[in-house]
Amino acid sequence: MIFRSVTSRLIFFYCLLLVVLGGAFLAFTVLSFQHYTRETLTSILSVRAGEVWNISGGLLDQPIRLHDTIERRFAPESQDRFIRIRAGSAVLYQSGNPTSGEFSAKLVAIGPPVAEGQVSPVRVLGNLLLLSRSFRDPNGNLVTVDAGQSDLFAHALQQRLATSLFVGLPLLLVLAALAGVVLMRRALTPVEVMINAAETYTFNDPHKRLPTLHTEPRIEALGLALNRMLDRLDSAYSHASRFSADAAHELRTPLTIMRGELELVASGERLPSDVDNAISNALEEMTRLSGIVDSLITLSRMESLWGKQAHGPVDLTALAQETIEQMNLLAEEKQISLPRPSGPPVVVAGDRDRLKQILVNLLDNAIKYTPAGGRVAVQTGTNGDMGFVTVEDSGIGIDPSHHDRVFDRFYRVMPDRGDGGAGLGLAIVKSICNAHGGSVSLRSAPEVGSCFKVEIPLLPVAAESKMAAADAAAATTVAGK
Amino acid sequence: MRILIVEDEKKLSDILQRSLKSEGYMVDGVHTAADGLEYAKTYHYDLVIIDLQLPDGTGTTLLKQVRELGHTMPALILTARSDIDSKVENFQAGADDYVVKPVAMAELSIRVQALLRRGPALQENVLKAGPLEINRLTRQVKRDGKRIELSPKEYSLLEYLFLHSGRILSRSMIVEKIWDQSFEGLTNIVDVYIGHLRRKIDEGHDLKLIRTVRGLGYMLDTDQLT
Repeated sequence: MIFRSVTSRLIFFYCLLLVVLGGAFLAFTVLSFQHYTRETLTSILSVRAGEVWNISGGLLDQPIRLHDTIERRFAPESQDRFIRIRAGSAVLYQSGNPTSGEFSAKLVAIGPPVAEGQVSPVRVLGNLLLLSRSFRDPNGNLVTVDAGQSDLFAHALQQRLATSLFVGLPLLLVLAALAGVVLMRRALTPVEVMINAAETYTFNDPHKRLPTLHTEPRIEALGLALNRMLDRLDSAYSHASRFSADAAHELRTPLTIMRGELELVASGERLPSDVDNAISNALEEMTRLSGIVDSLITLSRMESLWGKQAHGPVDLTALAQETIEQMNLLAEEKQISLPRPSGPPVVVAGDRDRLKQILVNLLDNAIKYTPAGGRVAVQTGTNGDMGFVTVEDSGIGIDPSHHDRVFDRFYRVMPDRGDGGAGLGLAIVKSICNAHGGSVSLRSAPEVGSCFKVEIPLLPVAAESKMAAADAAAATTVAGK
Repeated sequence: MRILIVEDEKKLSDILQRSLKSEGYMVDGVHTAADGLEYAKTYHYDLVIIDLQLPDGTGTTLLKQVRELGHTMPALILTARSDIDSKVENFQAGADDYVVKPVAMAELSIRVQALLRRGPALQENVLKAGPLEINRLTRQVKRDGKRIELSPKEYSLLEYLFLHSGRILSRSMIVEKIWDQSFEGLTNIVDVYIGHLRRKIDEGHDLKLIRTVRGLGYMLDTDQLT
């Protein structure tokens, strides 16, 4: 799961690469160090064998002096050195065991014979590197000098090197992975910004575009490409929305003509009852059609008004009381109780007539879909910087499967129900809410009832107090006169 | 009374002419702004009805030109544009009324009548129609001399029907007049109020004053009284 993210995959692969490279580096370092020490020791030993010969060449027959001279010059025991001078199989001199005890001088075997003036290849005897060189003495005898040196020190160094690399490499990996996470985060910041912008994109504010940060050309290109896509969507959407507005506009004149013709006929001489009936029916449908045309035009106007709505102070509580007063009879007819909301004023910024239309549409629906003897309740209040109105009924409710779509144009929960509605009432409610920078939501259960909640931004306190001050000033002026 | 109609949609112009002629007006119909201006210069009109979208210019321009000529007759704008900006612009250009299509002929004729009646309107405080009597000052209603108690909305509705008695008032006209624009489309409220009004005015009487004209609206029927 976690390997699906580009960040973790990238970090995983480059850590893997680091392990491989680090391992190769480690092996190469250790091996080349080993090789280097061997080479160095070999040349040192070769030179030392020569020196041993030079100082001991004339002393081969005086064992005590030979011993003293070599001891003075080379101090083999304290320096972990091994020196042996032999003529054939007779040992003329042999150094003792080193003080560190890294090898045992007595056990150093005699190698194969070496031709005069030649240097034998290095032999490894435990910790000891051994090299033999042959010389001919003035008596014509072949004398071989064995020079040896413990390489334990080099081994220890090598070990140390390997250990420090073994410890350092994982540490390096952890640091590299952390740095990778941080770097990827930084690199993906523009993407995060774009995601946030895209999440808040709605057609209510169709001119909003994703920010394009000039940090990474490919990501900037992605932002630009998405913005071009939004342009096309926007134009398609506004085309569709303009289409319905244009169509509605174009329908107005023919509707007037048809209506006029029918009215003239209807107001003429007494007509046979079937003709009269037909004309009345046609006129009723014409009225309905005019209503739909008006609603569509209202909708498109609301959409074009987004954020540009004239914003005066409107008290939702007073507006609800007034609207209920005007619609009370509709509820009374069905013995539905519709109490007036009581509560403090909820002053929002908005267009009074439009906000009232929200209440009218919601109340009309609530009364329409609540059976006789039911109850419709309106409440107002504030929630943070939003003012709200809820219209709750004890009606037939709306099945949850419809909740997402009830605010769509022409969507009707029960298309067969001949209530004359075109399914535009709630779409208008939503468009008015959006035009005010607010929202509408629905909570409903079948057979229990529905509750519509409309939220509109409160009038900013500064503006409100300014207006109150203006009112007070006006009052003073009047009183002063 | 002579009326000029400037409307490029020939069928609509035709139905307007026929409708207004049947009301007893003399009507001229033209289809372009240029013709409209010519007619306005040539003849005396008591009212002009202007469409905003004309083939050779806007109705607003025509209205301004007519006003510049010094004609003060009432002007009614008939248009498909319902935005506030357009309304304001045309009222500023000298319009007296602004009607958005689609419009019922009954409504148009009432508006025409109202515009032509402008000026020293007859301000009767007590109106009578047969057995019904309303006092516009005290807002009292009597039938056969008996007081009838009405709610403020019911009274407004009855008064509106009274002032246009004998004419059909559409539900949308009533809503616009008695309620307000936000009730646009909510015409069922009118039916409910008419029902209540009927119960108070007509119940128990053989002579029913409030008549329903299906498909068109309601009227206070005063024809049957004469």
